[in-house]
Amino acid sequence: MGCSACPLFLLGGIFVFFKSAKYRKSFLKSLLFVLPGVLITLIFVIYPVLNTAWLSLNSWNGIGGAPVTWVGLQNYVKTLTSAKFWNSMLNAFYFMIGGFVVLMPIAFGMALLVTSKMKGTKFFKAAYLMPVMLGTTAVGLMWTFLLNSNFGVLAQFLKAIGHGEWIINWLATPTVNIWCVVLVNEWMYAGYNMLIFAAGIVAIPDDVHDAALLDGCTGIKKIIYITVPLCKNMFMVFSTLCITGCLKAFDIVWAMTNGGPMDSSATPAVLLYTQGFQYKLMGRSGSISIILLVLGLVLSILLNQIIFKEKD
Amino acid sequence: MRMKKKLIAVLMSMAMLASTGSVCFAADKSDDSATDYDVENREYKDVTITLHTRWDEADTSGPLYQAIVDGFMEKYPGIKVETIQIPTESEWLNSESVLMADKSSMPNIIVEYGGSRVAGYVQQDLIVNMDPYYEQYPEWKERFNALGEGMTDYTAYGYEGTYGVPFTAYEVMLFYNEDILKANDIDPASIKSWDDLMSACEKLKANGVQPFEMGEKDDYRFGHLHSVLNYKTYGCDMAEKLGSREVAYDGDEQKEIYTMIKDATDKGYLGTNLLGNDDGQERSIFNTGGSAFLFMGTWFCAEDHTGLELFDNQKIHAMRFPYVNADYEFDDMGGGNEAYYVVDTGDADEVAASVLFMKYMTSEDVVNTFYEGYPAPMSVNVTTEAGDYLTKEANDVIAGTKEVRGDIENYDSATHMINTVRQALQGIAMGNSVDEVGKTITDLISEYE
Repeated sequence: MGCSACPLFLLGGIFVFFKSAKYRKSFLKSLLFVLPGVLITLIFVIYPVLNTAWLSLNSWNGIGGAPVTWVGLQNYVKTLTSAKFWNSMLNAFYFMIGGFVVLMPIAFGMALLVTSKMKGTKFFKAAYLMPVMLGTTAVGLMWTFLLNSNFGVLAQFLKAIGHGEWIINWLATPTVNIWCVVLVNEWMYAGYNMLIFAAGIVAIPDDVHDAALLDGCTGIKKIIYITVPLCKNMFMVFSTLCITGCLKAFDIVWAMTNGGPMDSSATPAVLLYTQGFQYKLMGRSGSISIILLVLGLVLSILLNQIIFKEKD
Repeated sequence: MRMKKKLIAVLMSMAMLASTGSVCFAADKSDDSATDYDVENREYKDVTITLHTRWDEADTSGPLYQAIVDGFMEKYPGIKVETIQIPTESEWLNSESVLMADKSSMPNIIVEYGGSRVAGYVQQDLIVNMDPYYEQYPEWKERFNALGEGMTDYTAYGYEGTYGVPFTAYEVMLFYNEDILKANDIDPASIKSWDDLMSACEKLKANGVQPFEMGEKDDYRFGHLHSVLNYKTYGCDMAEKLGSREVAYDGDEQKEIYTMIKDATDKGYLGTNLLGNDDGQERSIFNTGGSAFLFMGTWFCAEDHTGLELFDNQKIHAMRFPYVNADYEFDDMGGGNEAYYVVDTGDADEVAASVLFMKYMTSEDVVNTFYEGYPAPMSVNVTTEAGDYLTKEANDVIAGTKEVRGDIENYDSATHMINTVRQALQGIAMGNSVDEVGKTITDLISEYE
């Protein structure tokens, strides 16, 4: 049961509880079942969010015992008027573009491959999932070396084919660096998202495929008119995960560039971390967290309502 | 029966609330009036202290530091020392910020570089004042030399007392490859000034030799260059002038410093892949003859150079960093490399055990054993001869130094400045102009203050 339904359930339960002894026993049983989930959500989700929201309205340098001073919306004003923040939002937007334009088609294509009847799908599944199993730090370090403009594999390859002039410091050039991180991120998570789409593809009943075959709908046409529409829920799941994931992208960025140079490749999550723990601006960091939370919720709801809503 | 059940339920709830709420009444600062400063003659039973450091197990010094911990626990079996070791500077700073955010997670001893970060802790009465312990043990205070004073004195911030125990020290120097310079007809003894160094770089570059191969991916590299050029141009008191904002970061004096760095960068003297190399790669390249010069702190002397031909053949040498203004030839960047600050966690036993650990760590035998394995300059007096030829050369340079300061941003009361300035300087490697560097710093100062 979703957390949003809990308050309603509790109010209703309280009413029934005091109304009749007949329902009291089953109410208590129901309460016991949801209580662990509610408690975990309250302690690890609701409380930190409320505490962060309160911190975002204050100024605190992060030292235990130091005074926490009320500043109202000042942190939000400073954040929303900060060039660094908007640069980080642009980087998050690049992540989203990469997610929808690069990752989604590739993951969907991989899912079609591994759910097809061709030979070797087990090998493909394992191969596509390997980057996910490597771990973010290992992937980040690996690609940092691959992209080194002196001794990296890419630089050596370009030199070998006579295009040494194309070599630049990919991870230190603004815009290029964040796109390198984005593409590495897509490489790493293609296999994981393949599983999401594969789950939707295998759920399509066989008789739908048979009917399509009878009507001459095969190949690309079957994918466009049958598979994609029937996998709409999977696209919804992917979209929500993609948007929230892009807004909170941290680990791969930190592993590859530390958000630098000069915060040029910082995402909002990297920024909130550095603002809080390097610059000791905990209130400002909190305001970034709340802005991300609200943005993530709004974007997810909008996307699902506008794009994926069932037409009447 | 029903009333009984209700009563039990209410009592259980109260017990849960009381136990949860008791954390709010946890012990705060230890009571000074009752403190016993005689930490040696005290019983310790099942006391655990946590030490947050930058010790690197992969470095020569790592096992030596661990040996100190092991030796201490053997001598004082009632005290257990747990260590949190994070070698990478940025990760270590972030970890410290997280742990120091709440009393319940604060380590008992933190390693720090002094400056405004520590001043912030001192302001919150989180750092133990060592003066009463030095009064108890005057021979202990005698063990320290002047190199570490800057890390323990916070009178400039308005706090009297001695905070922190310095250990290793450093000075930023210029190291050079004798063979490369000889092959290019450059006499190292002729390099006294920054202009001399730039002339040598020009000659090397013309001959296809890379003068420096700096690793500015670790942004402290330009940060250190900025600090040392300031001291060599304007003298060490520029640290206080910048810290008090008497001198502006976008003023003419600082633009002159940025210009020196930018000119050297644009001419390719400082590196071919500034933002792609980190400081580890920088040292590796120098150690294997890939560059002629390296400017680095004297911890470089104590690193493991086993098997490296240049060191085996004594082809790497140390010299004082060149002056810009001859008046400040002997003003240098250096001082305490690290200091250990005892955190007042509110537990008197933990504080006493932490102070005792520091006393043990800086005792003569322990320091000598450490120095014999890692012959870096020390803030604690060393009474043994050790170290290779390079350490001796570095010590000779240090002996002639008249004044030192550490990272210039550490003298600023705003804790963000070290990150702000270093990030802005990194912009030079990205092609930013000197005006842009100054503007970036001043814009960020306005934003954060």
